[in-house]
This record gives sequence, C-alpha cells and structure tokens, in this order.
Amino acid sequence: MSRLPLDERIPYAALVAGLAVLTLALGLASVAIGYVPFDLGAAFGDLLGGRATLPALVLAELRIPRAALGLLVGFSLGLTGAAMQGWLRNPLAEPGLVGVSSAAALGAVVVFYSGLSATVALALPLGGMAGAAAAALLLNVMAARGAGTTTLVIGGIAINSLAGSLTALALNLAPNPYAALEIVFWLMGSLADRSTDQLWLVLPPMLAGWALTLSGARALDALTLGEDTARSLGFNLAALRVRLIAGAALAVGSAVSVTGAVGFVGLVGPHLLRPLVGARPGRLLPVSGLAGASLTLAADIAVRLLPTRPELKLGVVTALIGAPFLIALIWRLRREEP
Amino acid sequence: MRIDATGITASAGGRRVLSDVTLNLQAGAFVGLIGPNGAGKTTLLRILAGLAPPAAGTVAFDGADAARLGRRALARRIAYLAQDGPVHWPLRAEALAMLGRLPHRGMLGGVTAADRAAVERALARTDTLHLRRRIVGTLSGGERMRVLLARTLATEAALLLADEPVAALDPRHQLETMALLRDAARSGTGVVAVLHDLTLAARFCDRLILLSDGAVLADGPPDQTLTDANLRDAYGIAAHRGRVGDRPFLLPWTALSTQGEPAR
Repeated sequence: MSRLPLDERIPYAALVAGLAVLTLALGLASVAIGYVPFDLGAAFGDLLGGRATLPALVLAELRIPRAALGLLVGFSLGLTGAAMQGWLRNPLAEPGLVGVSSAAALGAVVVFYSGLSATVALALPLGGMAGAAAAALLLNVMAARGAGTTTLVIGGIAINSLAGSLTALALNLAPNPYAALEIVFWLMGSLADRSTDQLWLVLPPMLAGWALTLSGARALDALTLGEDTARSLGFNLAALRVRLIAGAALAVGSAVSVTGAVGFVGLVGPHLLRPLVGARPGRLLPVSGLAGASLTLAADIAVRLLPTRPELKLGVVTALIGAPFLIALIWRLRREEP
Repeated sequence: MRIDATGITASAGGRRVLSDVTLNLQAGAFVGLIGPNGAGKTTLLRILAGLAPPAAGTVAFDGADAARLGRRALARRIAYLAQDGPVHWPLRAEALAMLGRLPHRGMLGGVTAADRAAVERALARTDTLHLRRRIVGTLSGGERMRVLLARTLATEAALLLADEPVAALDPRHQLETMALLRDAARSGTGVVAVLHDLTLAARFCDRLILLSDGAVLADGPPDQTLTDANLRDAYGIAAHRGRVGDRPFLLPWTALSTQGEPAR
C-alpha cells in the first residue's frame, strides 16, 4: 500500500486546529495590512491603555471590524454551504442556490432605494435580514408541502431570479444615477468601511445561525444514506429542514446584509475540505466554516494589496476565483459519471 | 420486540396498495416478505419500520404507537435497510457502517468503545473487514450491499427490516447473506426481508408472508405458503419441486397463462 489518503493521514482534531490557526493568522494579517503606514504595536498599546490616539481609533473603528466581519461572514458562508450541500445531497449547492443570498441583497436594496439607509444607521443590515427571512419562510412553506430536493433547488432558483429581477427593477427606477451606482457597488460585496455597530448587530444572529446549522451535523451524516434511512436512524427531517433553512437565513442573511454579495465562498470551502474529512457531512461543517473564513480574509487582504484604486470589490475577487473553480468542478463531476 | 399491525391500508397515487393487512412480527424468526412486483411489499415494510403512517389501521411497537415510543427509541430497536440504498458521498466503508450507531449516540458524545466493537462485529459478520478503508463508490454491487448490511447490523437492533437484501448479490454471497440473516434470527434478532428468490426464501426462512394485490394471501411456514395454488394465484407460475437429501426445494419453472395453462 502506498501513502495513506489525506483523510487518514491528518487526524480531524489536527485539521480543525490547523485551520483555526490559519484563520486567526489571516485575521491578524488583515488587521496589520492597510493603506496608511501604521505602527500596529503602538496602536494596540494605545487601544488597551484607553488612549484615544489616531492609531488606536483606526485599529478599533476600521481594522478590527473589517477583519472580524471578514472572519464572521466567511465562516457563515462556508458553514452554510457545507450544510446546504449535505442537506440537498448536491455538491453544487451553496447559500446563493436556495435564494437566501439574493433575497437578502434585495432587502438591502429596497432599504437603499427607499432612502431609509440615510436616516437610520442600521436599516441596511436589518433590511437584508428581513429579505433573507422572507426567502427562508417561502422555502420552508414549499418544503413543508412535501417538495423534494429537486423541487427545492428549482424553487431556490425561482426565488433567486425573482429577487434578481426586483433588484434590477429598483435600479431601473432609481431616482438618480448616483443612487443606482451606489446600489451596484454595494451589490458587488465589500468589507471596506464597515462599522463596529454593524459588527455587533450581525454577531448574535450569526451565532444563532451557526448553532442551528451545527446542531444538524448528525442528521446530515444520516442523510448520506437517503431520507428513508435517515428517518429510520431516528432523525426528524422536518425539524432538520426548519433548523437548516432558519440557520441559513440568520447566518447568510446577516452576512449579505453587511457585506453585499460575496459569492462562491460557500461553494469552494466545502469542496476543498471534503477529501480531508472522508466526505463525512457532519465533520465537514466546522472545517468548511473555517475554510470559508480563511478564503474571505485572504481575498480581502488581496483587494488591499492589489495596486488597483479604488480597491477591487471583494465579491468581484471571489467570483473571479470561484467561477473558474465551479467550471472545473462541473468538468470533474461530468467525468466521474459513467 | 414485537410489531403488531392491524388492518393496515395504504394508497399511493390514488391506487390502493395495501388493504386490510394484519400481521405480527417478533424477535427470533427469519420472515420472508414475498409477492409479485407491485404487491405492496416495500410499502408494507416502510409502514412496519415506522417510516410512513398507514392510511388506516394501527401499528403497535411493543404495544405502543410510534409517537409514544419516540423516534430515537424506535431507531435503536428497528434497523431498516432500504432497497438499493443510495450512498450520496464518497464515504469509507467503516465510516458508513458507523452510521448504524447514530441512534445510540448522544447529541455531542463521540464514538465510544461499544460503538467501535459493534461496527467490528458487523463488518466481520458481513465479511467486509478487508473493505473498511475502501470508498463505497469503488466497491462492486455485492460488496456495497454487504457494507450497507453491516451498517444495518451495527445498530444491533431487536428487529431488522431489509428490502431486497440479496437482489444485487452473486449466488455465493446470496447464500452467505441468507445464512447470515438466518443466524441473526437464531441469535434472537427478528429479521424481515423482502425477497424475490423463492428458492432461497423457501430454504432459509422460518416463515413467509405472501402478499398479492395488497393483501396477505398466505402467512406461515414455507411449505404451507408456497403451495401450487398460491404460486399460481399470486405469481402465475408453476414450480419444479425436488429434494436434496431430506430437504425439499422449489424452483420457479413455468409461467402460466391467465387460465392456469403453461404459457408458450
């Protein structure tokens, strides 16, 4: 026998620890990298010493929220992607597929369009969460009527295109070109200039969404063997559906509502990690969350290091990397089928 | 563990699949559920496993209904092997067998020594120890079926309901699997298997339930269920009969026309 396969060589605990260290390291790098020359040590010293110097303010109000949101958003996307793939038993599933992401984007755009975002500070994320919740509710109603996974995927696509066309309508009717431009830029997804308030707003729903999703790990393992067998192993699939859809709405809805659309992280994360966990859907959840966080932080560091000004949008970079990845994935899947 | 099904009726797509089926199952016997295609075998097995509620009638598990027993308690007592059960991800055989331990595991607790021991026993009994590191998708149909059976055995439930467990196997593994299911029944587990091979059913099962058009046509020891009249009425066939030593066997031999004459 030649070398052991990857999932047998790397113990699961070591994989989780390694990814956590990588994520934290990228988070620190994200804090350290920025546009102004910056003494990180002094800034931390001032911040911890309670001295309101400029470096301390930059650190607390710009750098740390940006890195923390990158981590949270990436983890949410990676985790939800793995959960959607396990639940629908489809390697091409991701949060965008079931319509939650685009509905969240529509919710935020409606807030933009109505002008509420200018008057109420947190109207934008709240609008996004409302959109995600509406999509989740619609999906749950469809699923509760006995729709199979194929029907749900098609339903998700329908929600996607409905939200997409309503977003286009809002752009079409935008009162002035600047409003439209603002919406378009926001839709591209970015972590730049996010505030601590936004961080505190999305943290609770994200954590709740993570907990709901992670609680489905065992049931997702059982679903590997199909719905009948999963049921025979004692799992309540209706309850799993509610938990996963609500978890996706909370985690991805709040992610999209602060960063705009950051695509492909939820698709790529699970795929990179699946071979390392022996394809077990339950074990895949936390590690693809960490992979999503690492990918998002790395992409956000890249947009700041690239010489383009104004900086490239985060969603543009993830899509530029993610779309070819998706094509390669479909190519490989096609080859594996007889 | 016993299951008492009374007056079970089920429909699918507006068609009556089962009508007024009454039977009881208990540990320690190897029961074959037989009948022609479309007789309602799979529907009945799913209802007996508590996976689908009947349209009418009751199913009692040790005298309690499924809701009162709770799905996890039921999952520990009844193991179910789905017909050509799908495996959606490239799991290794050992990890797949470990899924059979899910009903025994708590919300957070890891794999225990008891779980590992049960999986070892299940892999040994299905002759799949040497396949444990293989990815399920790379196995042959027979190997795959045996690994799926190992998953079912790993639960160590009181009752094992299997939908066509030998359909994909070569003759050797058919014989071995039937012997394994019989031994499981001898050691106290109740086994109910949907079977199409009447020769194997007659040879290995303690009791056969013959379904025809959604009703129980016969229920009893093989020699009382597989009579010429029943074979003609349920399947429209005639069988060749013989003996090996002191043991009788039966082999489906002729398809009959609707009038009961041998068809061309």
